[in-house]
This record gives sequence, C-alpha cells and structure tokens, in this order.
Amino acid sequence: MSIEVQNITKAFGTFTALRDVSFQVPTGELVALLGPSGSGKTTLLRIIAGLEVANHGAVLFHGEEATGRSVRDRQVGFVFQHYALFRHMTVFENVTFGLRVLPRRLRPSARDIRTSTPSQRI
Amino acid sequence: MGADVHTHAGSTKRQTALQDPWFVQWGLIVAAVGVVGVLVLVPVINVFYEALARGAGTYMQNLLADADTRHAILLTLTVAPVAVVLNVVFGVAAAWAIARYQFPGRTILTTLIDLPFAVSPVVAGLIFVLLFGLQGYFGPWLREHHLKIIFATPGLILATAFVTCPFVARELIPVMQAVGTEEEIAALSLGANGWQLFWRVTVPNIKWGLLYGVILCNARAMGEFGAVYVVSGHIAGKTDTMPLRVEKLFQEYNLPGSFALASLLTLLALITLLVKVGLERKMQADAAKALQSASEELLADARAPIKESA
Amino acid sequence: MSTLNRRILPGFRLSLSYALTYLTILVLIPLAACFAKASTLTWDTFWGTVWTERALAAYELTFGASFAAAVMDVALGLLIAWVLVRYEFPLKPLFDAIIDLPLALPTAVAGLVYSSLYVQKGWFGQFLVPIGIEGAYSRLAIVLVLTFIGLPLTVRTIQPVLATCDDETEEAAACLGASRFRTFSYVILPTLYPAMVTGFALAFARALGEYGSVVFVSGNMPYRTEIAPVLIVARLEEFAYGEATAIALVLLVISFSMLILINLLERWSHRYGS
Repeated sequence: MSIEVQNITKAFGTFTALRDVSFQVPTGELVALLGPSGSGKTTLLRIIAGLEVANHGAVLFHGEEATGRSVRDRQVGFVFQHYALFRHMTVFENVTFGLRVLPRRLRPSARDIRTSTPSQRI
Repeated sequence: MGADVHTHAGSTKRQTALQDPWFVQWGLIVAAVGVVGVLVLVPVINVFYEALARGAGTYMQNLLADADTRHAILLTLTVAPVAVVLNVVFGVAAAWAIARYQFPGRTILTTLIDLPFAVSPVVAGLIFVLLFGLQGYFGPWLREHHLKIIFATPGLILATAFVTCPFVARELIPVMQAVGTEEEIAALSLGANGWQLFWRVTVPNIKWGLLYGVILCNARAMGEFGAVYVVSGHIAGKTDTMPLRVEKLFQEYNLPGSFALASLLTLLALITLLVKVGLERKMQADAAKALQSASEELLADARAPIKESA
Repeated sequence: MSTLNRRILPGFRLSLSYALTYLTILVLIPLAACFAKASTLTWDTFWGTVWTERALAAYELTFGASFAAAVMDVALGLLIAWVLVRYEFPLKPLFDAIIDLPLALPTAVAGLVYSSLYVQKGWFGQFLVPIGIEGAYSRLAIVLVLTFIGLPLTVRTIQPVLATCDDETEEAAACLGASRFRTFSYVILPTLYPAMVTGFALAFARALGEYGSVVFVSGNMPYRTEIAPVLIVARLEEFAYGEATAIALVLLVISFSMLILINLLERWSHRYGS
C-alpha cells in the first residue's frame, strides 16, 4: 500500500506542529522520519493513522482519499511509544484483539482464531 | 525523548479517535444529570419549598417560637463543636504519630482509627448505654456521684465524638505525609522546641487539610441521628438535638415545623459543600505550586555547571 | 520522608500515648462492653434472640436492601463518573459539587424529604403511586434512600480511576478496528472493575448500618419493613439490653468483616491497577 501526504498543516492552538508537509512513500518501501524533538514526527504519523485530524491537507492510501476515514477504517498498524498493551488481557488476547473486534460478518470463529495463531511460540 | 504531543485523558478536547458519537454523549449527559437531579437536587429544593410553603413568617415562628426547637438548635450547637474539638486534638496527635514515625503496630493503629466507620450508629449509641446507663457497668458508680451521662449532654457528646472520630485523623495523615518533614527538621536544627515547631511550621502547612477534616467532622456531628437517638432517651426540650427534633416533629405530624428545622440543617450541608469545594481548590493550588517549585529546583540543578571535585 | 528515627522529631511519646488513650477510652472500651455484655448471655439465649423470625426478617431486609442499593450505586456511579470525566457541559462544576451532598446532609433530613416526595401527594408520588410504585413506607423506599446515601461513595471511587485511564490503549484499540462500544466493553470497563467492586463494598457497608434516613421512609413494620438497627432500638426501649446487644453483636461482626474486606479490596485494586 502506498502512502501519500499532501500539504499537511496541523496546529495545536497557537503552536504549529506541521506546516505544508508533503511526501510520497511507494508500496513496499521502508521509510524513516528523522528530526529533532518537537519537529512533528509523532504528529505526522498520528495524522496518517487517523488519530489526529489535520487542519489542512490530504492523506492518500493507494491513491485513494483516506483523509475522511475514521481510524478504525484505515487499517493502519500503529506501534505506540509506551507499547499500549491491554494489561487486563492475556498475551493471546492482546495479539488476537484485532481479529476479535472485527464486525460479525467478517470475524473468524473463535476456533479459527486459536488454530491460526502460532500460540506455541507465545 | 521527543515531546509527547498527544493530550492526556481529563483534558477538555479529546482526540477524534476517542470521541463518542454526539448522540451518545448527550444521551449519557442527560441521563446522568437526570439521575442526580431526581436523587439529589429535587430533594434539596423540596426541603426549602416545604419549609417556606406557609410563608416566611410561619417559617421563622416554627424555628424561634417553639421552646423545644430553640433548645434543640442550641444543644446541637453545643454538642457538635465540643465533639469536633475533641476529635481535632485526637486527629492531630494520631496523624503526627502515624505520619512522622515508624513503630510496631502502626498499621493496626491506622485500622483502629477506621473502626467507628464500621460500627452502625445505633450500635455506637448502644455501647455507651451499656457502659454508662442505669444498669450499665458504671451505672451504679455514676448514680452515687450524681453524674448523668446517658440521657444527658455528656452522653450526646461521647456518642457524637465516637461516630465522627476518624474524620480529622484520616484527612490529616495523608496531608502530613505529603508535606514532608524537611521544614520541621530545619526548624529543629535552628533550635525550635517541639511546640514551636508544631505551631509555627507544621500547622501552617497542614491548615487546609485540617480545615477540610474539621468541616466534614462538623457536618457529620451536627447531623448524627442513630447514636444520639439511643443515648439521649429523646427527651424533648432536654436531650433532643436538631435531627432528633426533626424526627419528633415528624412523628407529631408537624410537617412545617419539621421541614423548617430540616432546612437549617440543609443550609448547613450546602455551606459545608461550598467550603469543601473552596478548600479542595486551595489544596490543589498548593500541591501544584509545590510541584512547580520542586521541578524548578531540579531544572536549576541540571543547568548548574559541573563543579570540579576537590 | 516519613521513615524517621523517632528520636529526631520530638513528640512521639506524647502524640502516640494521647492517641492510644483517647482511642481506648472512646472506642475500644465501649466496644469491649458490647462483647462483655453479650458473653453474659447463655448460648441458647443468644441464639434464641439472634435467630427469631423477626430478626431473620430484619437481617434479610437489611442485607437485601443494602445490596440492591449498592448495585444501583455502582451502575449510577459509573454513569456519573463517565460523564464527569469524559464530557463537558454547562454547569458541570455545580453538578460535580452537588454529588457530595449525601455525605454532608444529615440522614434525618434525607429521610424526611424522601418520605415526603414519594407519598401520594408528593412531587414524585403523585405520578408514581397511581401506576403502583410505592416509593414511601415500602421496601422500595428503603432502597431509594440507601441509594441516595451511597451515591457519592461509588462516584468518587470510580472517578479517579477513570480520569487516569491511558489514552494510548484506547487509541490502540481504535487502530485495531474496535468501535467505541467495543473499546468501552473490552478495554476501558475491565480496568474499572476493581474500583467498581471497592465502591460497591463501601456503599454496601454504609447502607448496612444506616438508621436515620430509613426510620422516616420505611414505616418500620416488623417482618416487612423493619431493618436490623430498628429492631435493636425496639429491644432497647423494652429494656431488653441483653437481646439488643446480641443483635448488635451480629451487626458488628458483619461490619468488621466488611471493613477488613474493603481494606483488602483497596490493596488488591492498587496492585491490579499498577
């Protein structure tokens, strides 16, 4: 899946985190964002994932507008700074969470989830 | 470590990913406000409505013309402050011992302080009757010396003090632990003795927490019913406190009188709430200031040039 | 730091001895009198008093009503805490402050006003009685007023836990495709279970001992709406001190167990939370 951001601007109150940022990431490429603290790296990633809404600009996945899509529908995998583990769930439940919250018609059965997860390695 | 730009829970603007749909938000808000309105707000309004239903003149008459009601007001205003003062002295002593020292049995002492919370008010009154009543363990001795505790004011004070005993102590212990001992030790090193240390250093630091405990203790003391009911013998004009008088007037089907007195108690509760909210803000402001000055100190230390070791 | 050698700061002996003496005189000796008096009863008399039909009806009512009220308090407390922490609306500070009113209001006033609101001519009763809901002089009345009394206990137990909920876990759930409802049920609610249980225990313990408000609203009908504390007072007024003490002892034992349980729960929830 290719990702493109076009003219993203994001301000928090009077502080502008991102101003007119644009770039393209073709399918399959590995890209790293480097920059000093406060330069807006986390903010940009969160905008791509849908956790923040940009004041201006667009996000496209595979050439399609994704800017209006909610975070749930974007299918972006996100690794959080502080791991964001579900502490009250087992490791297995953590790993399979995404499968278990699929809408009913798309959700695999509990047995399929169990057998398809390499739980021996957990 | 990069600056963490996402907002924390409790801030006013939540991220769109974490927002609930607007109809869910407003549905829940209406439900919550409705629940609190029905359970709490409407009763308060009703008290004042019923008290003033026959006009302000009747209201004042209900409160002041009835000798027994007047006596009840004065009795509550005597019993409650005495109980509060007793418990403040205890609370300060207990908090000092628990917050400032380690000793065997410290946890047990802390649990013992909570004990009155676990005792039903009626049982609290009962145990004093068992001790000081006519047939109680000290009954004969008291009769010999013409002292009356049960069915008299001292009994009311004892029962009220028992029931409200934990309030001040429980409030002061965390406050004293949070304030810390640095200033007190500094005062000690400068030559202060125990009492000077206490009055000049400790008390100013814990004053808001102390006041908070006092108003909670007072609200409970003035409103106490069960324990005082048992211990007083509810003799009108002699041992009826305000809550007991409210009940007596209710039993006599004198609802306007009952509500008039109840409105005074409700007013007291509302004032207690107001003072409580004000104190909470003060304590939060103090805590925020302490945090800020502590972090400023750390920052200053971090920026100081590294000195060569001698 | 509070871990100090007791010799550094003065006042250890004075404060500790005063505190212990006060506690002994005011709390421990009176409680001991209760146990002492109860022990003068023979085993048979004790059971004969504590296990009568009327006493059993009183226990059943006390426990049943307190349990129901505590459950209501947890449910309503969760709703109110959620709205307080997550949403903004006009007059919210006023709303927040008034929740603590049941803690400050004398229980007699609560009883008085609740009985007046739900009788046939009352503000609520005029609508409820015609459709068969007796909110005064009934078991429902007891549950209602006990719910009022315990409400701030559950709200203020759940609220701080909800306020320190991690944003990141909710965002992670959203990234993984969970709807807000699923995020609430699978991710947020389980972290609130300890606070909900602690709040339940606090409200339950408070309701068990409640007297002042219930005497106004229940009608105190033996076998029907008489709670255990009312039974104790009835025995006292008959000068049957031994019997009153026996029932009081039963209540005491249960309350002490609740106190220990609540302390354990609070410790468990601290561990679970961190």
